[in-house]
Amino acid sequence: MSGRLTTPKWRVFQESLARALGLMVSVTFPDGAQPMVLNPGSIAVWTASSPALGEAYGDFLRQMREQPQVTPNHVFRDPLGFPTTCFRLGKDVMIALGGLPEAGGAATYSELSDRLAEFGITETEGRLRGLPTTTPPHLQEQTAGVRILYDQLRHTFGETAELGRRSLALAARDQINKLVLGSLDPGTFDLEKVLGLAASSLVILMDVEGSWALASRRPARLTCVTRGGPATQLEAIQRTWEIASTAGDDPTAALEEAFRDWDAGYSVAPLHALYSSRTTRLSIGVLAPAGMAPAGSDVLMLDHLLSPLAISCELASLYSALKRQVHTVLNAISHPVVVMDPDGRVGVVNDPATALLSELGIKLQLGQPVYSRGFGLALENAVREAIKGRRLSRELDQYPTGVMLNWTVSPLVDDDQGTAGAILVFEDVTETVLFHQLFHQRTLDWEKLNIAGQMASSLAHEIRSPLAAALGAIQLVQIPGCDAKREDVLARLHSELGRMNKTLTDYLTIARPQSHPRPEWFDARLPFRELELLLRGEARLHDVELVVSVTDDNLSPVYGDADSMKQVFLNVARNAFEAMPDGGRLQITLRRAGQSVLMEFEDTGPGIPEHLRDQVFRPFFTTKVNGTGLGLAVSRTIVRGMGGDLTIANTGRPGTLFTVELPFPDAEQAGRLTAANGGSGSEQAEGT
Amino acid sequence: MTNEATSGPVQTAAAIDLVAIDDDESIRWLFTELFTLSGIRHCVAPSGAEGLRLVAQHRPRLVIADVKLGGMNGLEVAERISRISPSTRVILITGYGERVRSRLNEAPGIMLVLEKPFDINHLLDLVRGALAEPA
Repeated sequence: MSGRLTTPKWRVFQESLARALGLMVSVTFPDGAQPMVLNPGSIAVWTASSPALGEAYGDFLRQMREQPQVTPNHVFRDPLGFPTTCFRLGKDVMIALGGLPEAGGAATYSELSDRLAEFGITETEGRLRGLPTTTPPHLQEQTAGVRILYDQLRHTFGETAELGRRSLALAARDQINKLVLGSLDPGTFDLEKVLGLAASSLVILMDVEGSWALASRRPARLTCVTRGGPATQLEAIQRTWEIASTAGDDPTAALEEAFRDWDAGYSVAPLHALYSSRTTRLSIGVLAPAGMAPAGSDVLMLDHLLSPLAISCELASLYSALKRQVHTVLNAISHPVVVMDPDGRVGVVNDPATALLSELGIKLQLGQPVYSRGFGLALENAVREAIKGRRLSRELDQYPTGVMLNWTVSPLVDDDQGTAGAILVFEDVTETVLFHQLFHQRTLDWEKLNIAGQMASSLAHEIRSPLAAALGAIQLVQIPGCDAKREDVLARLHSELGRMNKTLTDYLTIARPQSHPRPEWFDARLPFRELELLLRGEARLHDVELVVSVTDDNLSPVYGDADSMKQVFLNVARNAFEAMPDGGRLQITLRRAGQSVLMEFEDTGPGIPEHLRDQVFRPFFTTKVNGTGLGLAVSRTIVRGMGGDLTIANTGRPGTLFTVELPFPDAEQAGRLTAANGGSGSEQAEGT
Repeated sequence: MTNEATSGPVQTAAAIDLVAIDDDESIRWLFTELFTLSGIRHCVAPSGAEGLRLVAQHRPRLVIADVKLGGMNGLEVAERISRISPSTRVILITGYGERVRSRLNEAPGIMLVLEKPFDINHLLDLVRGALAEPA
């Protein structure tokens, strides 16, 4: 038995089986004989490059053989931790299947990478993620099917009675169908693997030299497989098929013509079956020894195997038509779309996505994982989450090339179990964002110009009033008979010039804020402590009840210009007094909120209408008879210069709430504020 | 403050020829000194509302008003005066400059727009001329 399984025919069959299933198939023989390991994938490459791994696999297979009772239900772990199952063929041959990492298994890809490194193999995590995966239940199912197939093929080979052989061959054929069609899904369907397994099986089932399976599907899709020999004749048959198909002729007709002209001198003769539909032509056949009349069972065998293969061909056409349609639909969408399978491998990339990816400098290959391609961790994690069934999205994700993207990764919902992959949809918002930024900047520019215009106009007015009074006073004393006292006139002149100077100073504070700041660390309660007497006096004058509460002793030092802060305190408090000409109440609260100190000034005045709220901080905006409209504007400029803000809020009660918010900066921020203010406050910062 | 609104040499209803309205205390001081010295029967007001009250009470020949007044501007004051006391003429004073002045000149009921700072002798001539015209 063991000798027979090592013949070239069987080896070809096992290779085809391994390729069709995408699994490692190993056949081990009694002591001494070298195990036959057939693998279409990475294990073959790894074991070839690492003798240590090859030896470890040899030991593993031997140990598995020595298990007294093995059933396909038992799942072993190979040296890399991959699930492996096996069954015995007779007493002395064991066939093992495995070689794929477990989907969602306990071992992470980084652990796998470490294990490979122990065997001297270097693989990136990204490449490992691209490997196909399996699950123990799926592997057990495949193993049971393979076991039946081997049993039937083996018996066919040994059976001589015509009838018995025929029935076993039919059973074997059914098993091939079940195995191939059952284990392949639309995502990984590969017609060449199916035809390969059929051709290999034919060589064994019919005990012939060579076989072929040739498919031609419209438009221009050729799938050609030959097994065994003689090579000359097989190549001629394949070439005939290819030439006719490429020329748009019927390849089955060309093949039949070639067989009519078959050279009687050849040692082999063709025996074949044809399938023909609107879109598909299929031929399978064998080269049997010449001069032997084909048995009826052989012809039947070909016919029987033809129909499932024809179905496979039609399925392949259907799948590609589906893929084309999906592409057509996705390309009709202007958004870039990438579709991935449950292992994160790229299945579909629509044209907008291709364009976007080239702009991003990201190269995606169909069938390769989307991971480690430069999309960034957030998106890669989102793909993994989507495959688990969770939809994630992100807005304004900026890529190094300056491209700004919104993206959403959604699970592709499968009918029965969980997800069939993930779909990634991008929205390129670069231009929209740029437009909004530009628009916003323009609006700000206009606003600045507008404010500057208002300021210039208001400044003119504020200066010209005292100027008119001063010039008028000078002219007045020149009028004969004027009895105004010289001291009065001089006092007027002095106060009017003082007014002009104050207006100009205030104006400059806004135009060039904090021109000479002396930043230092100071207690947030300091401005009030130093102004308390003055404020209480003014409150009495205005018939205002002044209530102060400091709710937090932990008002650790804030950083800024303490004198300017006093100015702010005074401005805001006076503003409140003046808002209550008939008296009222001013509540000043100092408290801590997170990383800030809040100084709140709540008055019981008439309040500020909603539509004026934004304007009260504008220079020269005032509703008061004697106001310059600079107090709040200057105050806000000062507070913002310290990294804080001065805001106005509605309390739900009558009156107005002004809030000065000052952050507690850390040393680094304080340094930046100092630098920004052009001051030399670093010594003071260190002195805290 | 309130007594200043009705201050002036003469306080009887028939005797007031000029009401000067300005929210700037220094300008009011200047008007008071100037018109008292010149013997013009006048009174001053610090706001548009107070000024209108005095106009309604005294029906003066002439009003001088600042364009910028707290609460109500000079244009509004002029418009209200044209209804309260149609025979009263209005001189506006502005610190806003030429562009505003030319626009104000086109407004109805306004005799003249003066720019700050102004020559008080020129103002006095204007006031005397207006008061000399037949009502």
